[in-house]
Amino acid sequence: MPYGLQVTTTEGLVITDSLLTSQVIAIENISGVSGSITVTEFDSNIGFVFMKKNNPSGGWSILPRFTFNNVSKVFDWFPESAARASLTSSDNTVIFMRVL
Amino acid sequence: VPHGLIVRNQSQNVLIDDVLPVLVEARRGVMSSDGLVANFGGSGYVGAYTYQPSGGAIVGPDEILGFVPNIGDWVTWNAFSDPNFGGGPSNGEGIFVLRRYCSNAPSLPYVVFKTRSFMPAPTGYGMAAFNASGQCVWDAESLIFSVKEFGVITGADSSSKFFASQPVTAGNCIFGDEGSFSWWQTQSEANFMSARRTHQDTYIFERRAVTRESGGSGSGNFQNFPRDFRYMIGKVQE
Repeated sequence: MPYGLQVTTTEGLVITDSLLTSQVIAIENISGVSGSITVTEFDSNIGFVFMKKNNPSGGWSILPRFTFNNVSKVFDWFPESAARASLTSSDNTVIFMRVL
Repeated sequence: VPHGLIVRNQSQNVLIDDVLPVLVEARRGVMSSDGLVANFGGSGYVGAYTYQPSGGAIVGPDEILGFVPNIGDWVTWNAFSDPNFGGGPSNGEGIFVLRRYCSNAPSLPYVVFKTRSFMPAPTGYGMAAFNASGQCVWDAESLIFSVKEFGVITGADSSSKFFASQPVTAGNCIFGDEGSFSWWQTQSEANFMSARRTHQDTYIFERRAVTRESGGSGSGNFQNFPRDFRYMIGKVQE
């Protein structure tokens, strides 16, 4: 092992360099079919945004679309289209992850 | 760092620290289908088992539900029903209620990942890291979830270009965009994105079609919607 730590996990002896963890930067509950929040700690160059509906039976609503501006750190969400606003889920959770 | 723990890899990316929690496996199980959308006999169409989360598959705000379909099986997310299609359910239309997930398989293995800090502190052997609030953010006992690959498959604006088939070789569990959805290509068909597991660590994204569940013969509103499908593939112990 050139450097780092070795840890015995349930998968055996693992060098921490190869752990490939995914850390959670922030978890935000967002309401409404559109809006914006600021997530200053998130870097989209090394992160991934996962959005999901909070209503487990809401099978026929669709998630809003979203964008993240990595300079202003503003996360925007909005309906697929104006015509789809009424079918857009308004109770969602967004998980901001560092994955690289 | 003035104090505490940071573990970086060769690329200087932080793997573990004493601030941010990692995602770990919280539980796993097998979902049973709650229904079947039959094949109406059209050439090239498929039937689909429908799923609604129940029991351990119901996730909290800090949890993510992933699927580990058996090799050869496929899964979809949010095959979407338009209740206004053709005038709505009252006249037999708008009945593409395919529930939240669909698969060709009558049972669907799943795994739930959870933020480590929201789980009890470890009690066994090994190393652990805690944040300033005393929450465990990483430990050697938990099965660490790692994102192997993620990205966006861009939707297109015609049926011939809908979503390109895209093989992804990375991991053994798949997370889909619950906003991914279908459109009404014809009067009797719904299309949606699916991920089919072709090998141990390979998925291929492709378009699926399911025929009308029952009834109705309305004029059909040809609607298509460019839509990006966001996916994430991770690795868990099988």
